[in-house]
Amino acid sequence: MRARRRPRPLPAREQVLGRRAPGNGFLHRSPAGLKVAMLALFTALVLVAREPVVSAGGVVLVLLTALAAQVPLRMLLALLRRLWLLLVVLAALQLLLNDPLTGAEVLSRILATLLAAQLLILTTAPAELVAVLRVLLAPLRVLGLEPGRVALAALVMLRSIPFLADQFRMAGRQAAARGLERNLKARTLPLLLGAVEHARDTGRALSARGIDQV
Amino acid sequence: MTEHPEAITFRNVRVLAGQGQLLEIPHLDLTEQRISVIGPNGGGKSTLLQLVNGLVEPTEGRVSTEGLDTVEQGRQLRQCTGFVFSNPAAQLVMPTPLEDVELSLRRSVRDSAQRRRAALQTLAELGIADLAERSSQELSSGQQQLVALATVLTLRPRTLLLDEPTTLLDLANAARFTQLVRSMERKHRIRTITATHDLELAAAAERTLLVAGGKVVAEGEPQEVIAAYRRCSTG
Ligand SMILES: Nc1ncnc2c1ncn2[C@@H]1O[C@H](COP(=O)(O)OP(=O)(O)O)[C@@H](O)[C@H]1O
Ligand SMILES: [Mg+2]
Repeated sequence: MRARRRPRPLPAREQVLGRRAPGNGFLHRSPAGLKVAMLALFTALVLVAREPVVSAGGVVLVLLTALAAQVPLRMLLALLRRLWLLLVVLAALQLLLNDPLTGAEVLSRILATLLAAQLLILTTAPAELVAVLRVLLAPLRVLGLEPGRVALAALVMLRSIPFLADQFRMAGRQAAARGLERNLKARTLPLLLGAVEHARDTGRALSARGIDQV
Repeated sequence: MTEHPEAITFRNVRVLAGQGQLLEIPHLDLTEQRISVIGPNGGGKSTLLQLVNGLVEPTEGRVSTEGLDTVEQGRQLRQCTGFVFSNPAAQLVMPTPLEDVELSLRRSVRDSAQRRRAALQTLAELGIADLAERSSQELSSGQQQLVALATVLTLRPRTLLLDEPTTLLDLANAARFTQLVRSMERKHRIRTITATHDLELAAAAERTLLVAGGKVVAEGEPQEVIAAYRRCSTG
């Protein structure tokens, strides 16, 4: 008998925030503000330098830091699995438009900054990150914006990504159940309706709890 | 029963998402006309139902329905299998019920006048012909769920999978929905598998499966399985 097609794998539910690496290395223990400052410094350096040595060195530095802080590399590199399509497209574009060396530099620059940010998220509790965000947003007060409200909006947005991913998958299945796999409207309309409903429900639930900022 | 429907078979089935296991069914044959699936939230009911028509493909093992492998012949299988989800609004994609039912028929009925007639006939058969030209998004949830049923029944499915179809409906609408499914089941000899938290509805099946923690933990006579569910839910 002919071998059967391999079953389509079921992607696991994604979580953007709140996936902490196990353990309690030095990064887990350092204050969130310091880590954010280091990340900003590191990112600025890599972006400004635009040197192959600095960018590639940045990637290595992040990996070494992760090892030293006892963060499993598997969790850090999980980011690449999520973004592989984007990275492939970027790599292809670079090869088309630039010479290979510049392409490699651009790619390692992006990787270094993304991985460093992932390292921060993996070793910092969401509540601490929110606290830092509020401090950073404080200058917005001059514009009449409440930092806590902006921080809450950011939090809700991040939280809704896995929800929307679920909705997207569900919409695809609902379309497939009716044999409408190729029907764009059937695949997207339930997602849009679901997103609007979710936003409305989240807003109502928060205001019912009297929460309008964090 | 004159016509014995072909079995739905599960063999060494495991469904994984990433590292986690959602469902495991080593061996199961379903031959009854009316089956109910009960169990706690997150137990694996939806996953089981979606395995039957290949919306979820088994990571390991095989599922076959009416002799069709759900991985190899998924599309073909879904043409003779209807699925109704629990959220009424999210299943309708066209402006009016009539157009939505026509959308289902687009592949099977080429002629548009004929398609319209068939769609109208299905709506009439379900007693909702009056809704044909209304705006789908303005219908009540109960009406929307009947339209969702129409979009599925118009293709004359042999198997109908209902995933908590009445969970979001009030008593009267739930009763109307269930009654319609019953009569269609008899009239067109449709096999139904219903996941539900309505134990009365579950009890009306010929066979009940209790799915919890990603396993079929009990199955058989509805009353016995429901009693087992009550016992394990109330500790
Ligand atoms: N893509 C996924 N990634 C991770 N977990 C999932 C995924 N899809 C479903 N699950 C989980 O699998 C379990 C079974 O889900 P489901 O079949 O929907 O249960 P039920 O319908 O009985 O409520 C739930 O705990 C659910 O959260
Ligand atoms: Mg479910």
